[in-house]
Amino acid sequence: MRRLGWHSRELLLFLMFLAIAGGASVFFFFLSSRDVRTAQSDYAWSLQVNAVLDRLADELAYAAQIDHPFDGESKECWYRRAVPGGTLEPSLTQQGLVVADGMLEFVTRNASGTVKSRSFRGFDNPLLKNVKKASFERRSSNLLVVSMSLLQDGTTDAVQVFERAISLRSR
Amino acid sequence: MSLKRSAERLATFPVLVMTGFTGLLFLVLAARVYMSDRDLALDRVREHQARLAAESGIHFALARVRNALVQPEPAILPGAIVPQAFESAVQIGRWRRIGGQTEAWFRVAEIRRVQLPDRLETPLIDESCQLQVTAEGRCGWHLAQTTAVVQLTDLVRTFGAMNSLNMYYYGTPLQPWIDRAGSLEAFMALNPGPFRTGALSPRGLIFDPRLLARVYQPAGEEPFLLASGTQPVGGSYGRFFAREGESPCRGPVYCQTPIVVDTHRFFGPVQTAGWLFRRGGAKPVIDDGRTVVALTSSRRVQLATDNLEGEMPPGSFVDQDASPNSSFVASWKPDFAALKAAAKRTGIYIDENGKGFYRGEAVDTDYHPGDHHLFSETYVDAATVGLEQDEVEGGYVVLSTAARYGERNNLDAVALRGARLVFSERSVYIRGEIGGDLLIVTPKHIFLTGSTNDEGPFSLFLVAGAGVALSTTDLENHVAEKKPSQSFISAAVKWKIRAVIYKPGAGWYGSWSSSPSGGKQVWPSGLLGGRVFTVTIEGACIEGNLKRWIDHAAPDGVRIEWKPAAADRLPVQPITANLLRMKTVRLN
Repeated sequence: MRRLGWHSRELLLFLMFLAIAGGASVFFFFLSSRDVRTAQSDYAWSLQVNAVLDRLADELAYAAQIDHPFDGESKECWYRRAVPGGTLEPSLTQQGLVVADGMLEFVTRNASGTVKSRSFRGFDNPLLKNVKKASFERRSSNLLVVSMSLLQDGTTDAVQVFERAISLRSR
Repeated sequence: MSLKRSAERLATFPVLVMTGFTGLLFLVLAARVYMSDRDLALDRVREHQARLAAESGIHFALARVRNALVQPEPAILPGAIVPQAFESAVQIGRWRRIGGQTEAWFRVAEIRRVQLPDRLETPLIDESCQLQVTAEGRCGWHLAQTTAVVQLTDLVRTFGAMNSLNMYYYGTPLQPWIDRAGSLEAFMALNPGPFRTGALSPRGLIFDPRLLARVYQPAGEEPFLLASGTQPVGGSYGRFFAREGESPCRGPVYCQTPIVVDTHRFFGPVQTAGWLFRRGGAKPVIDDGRTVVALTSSRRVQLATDNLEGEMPPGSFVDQDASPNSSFVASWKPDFAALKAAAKRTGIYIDENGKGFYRGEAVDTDYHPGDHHLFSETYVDAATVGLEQDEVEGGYVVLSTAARYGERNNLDAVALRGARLVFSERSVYIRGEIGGDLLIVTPKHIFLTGSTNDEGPFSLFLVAGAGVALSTTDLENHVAEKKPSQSFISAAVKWKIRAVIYKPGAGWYGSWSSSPSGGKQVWPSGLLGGRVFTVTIEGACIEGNLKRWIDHAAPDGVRIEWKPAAADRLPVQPITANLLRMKTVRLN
């Protein structure tokens, strides 16, 4: 019953597990490398920007009224939400998306003045930072194109452009 | 030996199972990682589809509401619009699948009337005639809800002329270039830019204010290209276009096309779904003498004048408060099949032989059937080459009174027997009085041969699929036979039509009309002379092209005196439904 030497199948299994263990080690080493962490943070940043822009697009698409821009391009966008109730009339309060000092901020304007809101639908103000260039372009009465050029986190020259073409329902 | 083998087998088996499961685990993990992005994307697509499905529910309800509004039975009256009138048409609560391959569904959850009073400062919008429609859409586990406000507009109570003056105020800005290019297709091939950018539609509608200004500036260059060797038109269309004087409509006007005016006097508010362009230093006025034209409501005038900015051409008005949804009013189209069925059941039906039936039973009333073959005057259409001329051939009946039939009235109270709907398969000639509130419908032409319903107290609605035309033949024959005095003729060429007319302006017909030879113009002339007729419509006009009547009537001879109650007590009210506002939210 005593066994001598390696059986070929055992050798194969040993090599296979050794390869898996080696591959996994290399993989985990690769995961913890600086390049991957940079890529991960870029991806997370990109997801965050896209999530903000998606929420903005959703908000603008169903705004009761787009006050500005009426025509052409602007660095600001002013709109009115529908008042609660069934008539969907535009609210007296104006909401705005304003780019200032490289930041996109959500502000509210009423008769007494303009105030910076603390948050916008779950996102803290300012909604976006490191905004190099932003435009809200009213291409037609029912099409608003939002374009944002942002500096990537931790870089000084890598600019990424995000764009949303928004079909305005209550045009 | 066998013991050793079985022991080895027993020792190897768990290792193989473990190896197999490890491999399987890696495969599943790889597949899962590979598919996770796809699943996430599909989930977002489903979320979007749920929203779109809910919005589809609104558009579905709107189409069904519009269909319900043109049904003669039960008539939906503007003062008593109730959601129940639409519930059977929409089928509240029933889930409907969209398309054949998707898994999206929608249902209309609720229709209710918005309880708001009509605001006096917005005369062109009746806030008390709004419906709130709620629809739900689902796709996968996603659920969305859309709430929309649908505006109902009673056209007769709101406008004196609804799309009947489009061509009068807009003209045919492309026609000279299409004529020289040889066809619309050739013109589009020569000028693809404005069509590609959406500044210009093949129907000739201009959506860009700068192009509008270029086309209508009187001193402008040719705005469109022509093939080399083609004789130029000789300047912009504005050189040949003029719109001064007074509006033919004494009441509110609505145009789906842009309105281009010089120093022009309107007699009521003006609403357009496009642009209003006043040329140069011209000052269009409303009859109260103000130097601006009201778009939709007087409140908006102030905003429009306050907010002129950007690079708009001088003279154009930008109404920043108006939106396409609020300034557009959907066209009204009758349902001829439903009207025919209703006439067979509850009214008078005149078949293709000119034989009449009252509630399905034959009647012995003589509707004077006959056959004709006619040609209209020549005219220029928006996107055609050369002159157009209509040819009418087929049977007709003569309703109400006619001199050639001894002035006997076949639409008096006795003949009508309470019927409020007459449907004729043949073209209709009409002149004289009627014996009750009446809706006269034909899919062909209605020819007005003189004053109609001008003295009685009844409402009249003329609905002709091919349009309502003017026929001077009867009067010309009468003058030729009887040789009446000049004062009789002067009075006889002044026609008063007390009715709501669907598709007026379908041309002029008379003893002078003939087939054109070599593209020559054919205009009303004959025994009575040209441009002698005046036509006053007391009621309202819906659709059609009144320019054809205006061109050959006496100067300022076509006039619409708006009567908001002109369609009261009729089996069908011309009401349209528009989507005003919409909002969609996620429910989960």
